Amino acid sequence: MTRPAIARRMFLRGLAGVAVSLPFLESFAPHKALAQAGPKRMAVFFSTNGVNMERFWPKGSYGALTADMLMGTGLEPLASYASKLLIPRGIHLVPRGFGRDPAGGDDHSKAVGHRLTAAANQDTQERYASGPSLDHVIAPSINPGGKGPLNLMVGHRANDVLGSFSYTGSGQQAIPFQDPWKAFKDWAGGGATTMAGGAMMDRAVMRRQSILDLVKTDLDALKNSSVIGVADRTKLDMHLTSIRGLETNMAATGVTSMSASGCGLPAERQQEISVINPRNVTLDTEYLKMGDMLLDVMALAMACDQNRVVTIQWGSGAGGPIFSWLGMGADDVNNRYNHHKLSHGATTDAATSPNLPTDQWKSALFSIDQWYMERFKGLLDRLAAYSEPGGSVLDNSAVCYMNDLGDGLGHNWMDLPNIIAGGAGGYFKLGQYVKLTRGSGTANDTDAPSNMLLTTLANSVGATMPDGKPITNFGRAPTGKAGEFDALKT
Amino acid sequence: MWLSCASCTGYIESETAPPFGADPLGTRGQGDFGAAGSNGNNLPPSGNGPGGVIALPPANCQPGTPPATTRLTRLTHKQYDNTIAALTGLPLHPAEDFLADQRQAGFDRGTDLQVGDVLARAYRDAAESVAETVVGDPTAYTRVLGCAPTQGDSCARSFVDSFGKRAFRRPVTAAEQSSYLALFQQGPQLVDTGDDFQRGVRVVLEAMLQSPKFLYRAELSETPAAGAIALSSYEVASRISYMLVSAPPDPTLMQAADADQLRDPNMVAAQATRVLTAGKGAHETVRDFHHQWLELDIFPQKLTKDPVRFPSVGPALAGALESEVEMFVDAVSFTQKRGFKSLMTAPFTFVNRTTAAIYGVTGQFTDDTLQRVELDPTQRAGLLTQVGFLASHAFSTVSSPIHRGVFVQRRLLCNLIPPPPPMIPALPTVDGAQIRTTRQQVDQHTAPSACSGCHHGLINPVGFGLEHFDAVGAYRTQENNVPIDASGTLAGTGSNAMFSDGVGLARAVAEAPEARACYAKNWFRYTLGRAETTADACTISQIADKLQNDEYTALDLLTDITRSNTFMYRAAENP
Repeated sequence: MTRPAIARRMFLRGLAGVAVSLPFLESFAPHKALAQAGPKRMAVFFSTNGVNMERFWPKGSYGALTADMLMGTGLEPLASYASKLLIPRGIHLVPRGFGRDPAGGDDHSKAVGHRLTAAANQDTQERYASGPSLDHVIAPSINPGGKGPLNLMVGHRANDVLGSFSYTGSGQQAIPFQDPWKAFKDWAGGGATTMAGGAMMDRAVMRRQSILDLVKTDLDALKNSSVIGVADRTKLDMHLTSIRGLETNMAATGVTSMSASGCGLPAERQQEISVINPRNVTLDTEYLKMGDMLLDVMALAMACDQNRVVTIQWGSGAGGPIFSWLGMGADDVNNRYNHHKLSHGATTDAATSPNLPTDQWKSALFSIDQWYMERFKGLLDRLAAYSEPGGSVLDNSAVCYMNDLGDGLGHNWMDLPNIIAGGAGGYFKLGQYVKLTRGSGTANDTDAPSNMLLTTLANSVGATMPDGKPITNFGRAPTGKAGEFDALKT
Repeated sequence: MWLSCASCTGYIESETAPPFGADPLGTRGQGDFGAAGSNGNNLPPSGNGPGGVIALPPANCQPGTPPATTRLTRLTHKQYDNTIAALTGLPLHPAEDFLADQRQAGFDRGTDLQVGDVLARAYRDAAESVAETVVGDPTAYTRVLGCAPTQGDSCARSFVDSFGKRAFRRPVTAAEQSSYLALFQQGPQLVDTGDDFQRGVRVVLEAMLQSPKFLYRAELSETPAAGAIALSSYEVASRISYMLVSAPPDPTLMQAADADQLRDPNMVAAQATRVLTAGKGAHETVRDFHHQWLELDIFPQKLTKDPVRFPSVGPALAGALESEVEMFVDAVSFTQKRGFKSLMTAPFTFVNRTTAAIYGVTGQFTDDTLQRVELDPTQRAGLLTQVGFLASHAFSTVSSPIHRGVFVQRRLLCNLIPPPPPMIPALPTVDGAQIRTTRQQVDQHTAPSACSGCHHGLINPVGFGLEHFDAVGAYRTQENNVPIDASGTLAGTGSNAMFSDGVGLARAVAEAPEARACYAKNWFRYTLGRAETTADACTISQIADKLQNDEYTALDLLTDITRSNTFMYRAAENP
């Protein structure tokens, strides 16, 4: 398929740490009042298999977080951002893993399935989560026109619960974009009809509207037919919601606003992305390159206000690439074993007791953790480079790092790695390292359930229930709890 | 079948009931976003997970009432593209750019598929692109119109009727004719280019290709039939062509539907046979089914080998190894016209220069093409001794009896193997003294009582049968100077057949009723797009029985599915 041209009269040089103001945002008048702060966004950067817990966390006491507390740790690449980070400690997965709450497959299946849904996994071959994920709940609430989130992924995607942590609904996994060019085109436009504005634009909008009216009529007719049952009505509702999203976004489609505002990638970068081979995007050898391209697309979507909820998943659960680019010598373990095997210190995926030399696999994990933190810092850099009312895109966002496990060897679902950067326009405390458990330890399965983090995040970006009421409990009794983590809020 | 693996995981799975009850956390939970049911379509847990394994009745069973299933099955991407090609006569395949669909019951053709906002955008963009292309191509435009624009309104009407019928796979209603005609007449105000007629055609094409009547196979029949509902001839026509060859009904099938002939199971089977033998569609179905059933898509992830010992094998070989399997199943099913037993035991395959060396076959081979070769029947037999499977279920330097055993249990026998427990002891080293081979190492490693239930009981006895094949699937007679011991049993089956090597294992699988049942179940899941329920048990049992005959091919199996109670009928109630 030929790649349609994208207008690129102007582009932002927001990268390389140069602050750039965005006059184009003012042209989005229907969506944003000029004098107010930029919109709030949520981003989730998700990696799997846990971290080297011995070396990941900040050194020193809870309380104020400083750069030197991060030196020498897995978080060292984030040192320059210490004042913009919130690191909560002691959060445990809900529903719990490791033989506590039953069903839904093995620990990795539960870890990935529950992380952003707080819902149990289904009792089926694929073990999908039985509820929507945070991104798919809050995006329709905070995106203009009710658009769904932008889901991205780097590396091989498993064909079951392990392959994506996002869900549009129960048993409905959201398949992420893995090809950066496709991801870019999805919001930047590139449909068959390039709309150049003016009368042509109006006619195209009218045409789309007339057609969608007919499509909606057909969907409603089916829905109201006596022949259709409950499950099929849900299916039709999902379709109707998607159509409504198309409608409202029509006049402010990526193409029109892109060409009018000049919000785009630098020409060389766009060219580079446009020529990648779609068949290779999930290979381990492309992991680094695809990751960087997807981060560019992600940051641009947020900065251009094309999507206020974006996720990027690095590797499938119990998967992950062979980090050959981190290998130091021909025999280095990073050249031979993928992330999951190394998280078990082993040469195989099934052995859960180490059989590699301890120093080798632990330091391999440490360097992988730092590599992911460098990528995370890269995302923060990109977002910090765009200034807007309120500070920068980063300041107005809740940019989260999450891992589905703490200690990967033990499949530990307590004391999960979480970082919140940016603060969502002053909602979260910043420059803080906070223990959420009541006792002195952080490996705890009752005090700080992960669903409360989801509730807090939802409120931080201003999402509400469809009827406008606040979200008070993103979760499921009995293992989750209602309410937010007040200790994290300003 | 239920397994007593209590010590494996701490979960106890009983002989009669699923563990933990249907929904231990409460689907009507107190959270804000509870799920409607324990699975996406409110059906009871089906035969794929711990929720329930369907026991098959004997083959002389009487099929009962068909199950309650969805009435709206979204076209798969392949079905969408084949429909666009048939409607336009142009080689357009916009769905190749769509994001993949999720798996359901192991395949990506599920009845649970939905239209989310990413796909809605993709459908819109595709509809606009196809409409513009068709109107711009004189041949396609003429074909799609089927009449002369100079006839004005009567041609507009005829276009809406004829294209609508082909797009919706049934005659358009009066209401639809009126709405689409009204849209046609707005064409000049809504489209910039072309004459008035072209604008009308373009806007109607865009609309029809986004309509749920195009995107879903809608089965709205209410015709009662002995406690169930009979699908209409049009609905059955769509099932025959979409389920069997992922394509819309061809003109012959539509004529049979027009004449309401597809309520007669013999006519249905005759049309099914015709559709399966016309063109390439059935080849693609057989290829696609086996590709997904055998999980060939993991090859690129699982072929990292020691570059010193196995320099010729790596992820780049995945394509050739996948093609090998595809060509093999095609040769068995279509050229030889054979079935399950040949798939499991036939001693031939397709090699390139690299894999020829691994198989130890001599001849002139290239890197780019695969050639058929006969294999040593004392060493190789069918799917289980092919390099792709063996190498992707092995480590970088050694074989993995556990991975191979688990694959046979799960994919070929449909037995449930729970995940391993955490914190098992370290792998004992192959020290050349007490442990000299992979077999001994695995045997000892899995001996503790927490492991032996599943491992010594089910997994290892099967996986050991393939120990003649090393990390890349090459045949060997010794490992570390110890003669290979590839003896084992087909554990997890009623016969527990014994064998002494891979050929024996393959033959045991070929003869096992459980393997036939599993093959039938997987074809059922693929074709119908859902997991089987107890209401489907008789259909599957009868097909499993017929698979004993090696001349019962995949095409025969597909035709028999069209004869099942669930193909032409549905339950009266809705899920």
